[in-house]
Amino acid sequence: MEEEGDIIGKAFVEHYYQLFDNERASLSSLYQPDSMLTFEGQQILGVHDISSKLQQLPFERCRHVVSTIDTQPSSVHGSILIFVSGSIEIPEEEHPLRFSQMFHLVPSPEGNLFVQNDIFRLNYG
Amino acid sequence: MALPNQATVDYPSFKLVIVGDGGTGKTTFVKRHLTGEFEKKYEPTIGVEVHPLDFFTNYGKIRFYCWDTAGQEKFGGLRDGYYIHGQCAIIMFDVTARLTYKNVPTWHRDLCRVCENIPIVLCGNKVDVKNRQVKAKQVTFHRKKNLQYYEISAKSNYNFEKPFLYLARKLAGNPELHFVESPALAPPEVQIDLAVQEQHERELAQAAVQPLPDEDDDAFD
Repeated sequence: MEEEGDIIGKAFVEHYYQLFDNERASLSSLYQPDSMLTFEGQQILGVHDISSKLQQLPFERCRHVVSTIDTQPSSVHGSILIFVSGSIEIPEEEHPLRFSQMFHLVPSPEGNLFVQNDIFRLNYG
Repeated sequence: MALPNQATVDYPSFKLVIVGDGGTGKTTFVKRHLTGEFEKKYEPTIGVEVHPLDFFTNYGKIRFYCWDTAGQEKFGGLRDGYYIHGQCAIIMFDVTARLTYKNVPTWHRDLCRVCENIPIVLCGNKVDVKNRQVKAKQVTFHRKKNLQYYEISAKSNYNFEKPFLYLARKLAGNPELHFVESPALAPPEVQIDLAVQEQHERELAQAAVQPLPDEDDDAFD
């Protein structure tokens, strides 16, 4: 029997990469004004800057292939920590790139889950 | 530097690091050299494809182990492991995309932080394309940093050997070194308008004798 956090975590990860790979502009709906993203070491604060960073990545399409998803309940009630590993395929590149990504999902007062913290890294030497 | 699973050779060989924004044609450029393309090896833990490019000089063979990324630069800067033990470098930009020239100082800084005092060639690629955004005379960065600059067109093989000849001379410490035979290259996919390119080369030569514009390294316009 899967934990509730695992089910939510998996559903979130699937949704997130579905948007990232097919309609990246829609990712903005998952962040808030005080969300934080650390993308390959670059710190970005707020839904506006996060959204423009992700949209400015110099490739139109890509495909995330998820290998593992781990989740934990976090201290704030209803919040979840998610750690993902996998690879990204970019059409014009011959080899897929490995990545790790951590999401901290926190419920809004209305009860919707938002990405409070997001840390992304490519895994290579 | 060869990868652990890659043959080493008994003639001089050097690690050549190729950097520059994604989409500037780094991979297309190294793939022109056919024997290098046949012998290339991919190392997934470092995320690098190493092409061994041999050239024939009047002093014998020389090999450049060209380190090409798997596209990591599209996400951000590269790890130190990519630069480390680099003995020479090519910084590539795309003359049809202004931003890629604007980012050249960042690539140069990242490179020099790990590789001090190595010979570097700046290459403006895609000069076969009619609608240039970076004109030959606007390219001044190499003059401030003592780099060599070449206009190239990977798809037409235009000036393919020039960067390697410059680096080979610097590494050998011998300006008399020259190539005695051309390596096998992939056939040109486009033809370059040589008359137009000669005009660009003239502009470059004229610009080289002008005083440098008074601006900091990151400024372009």
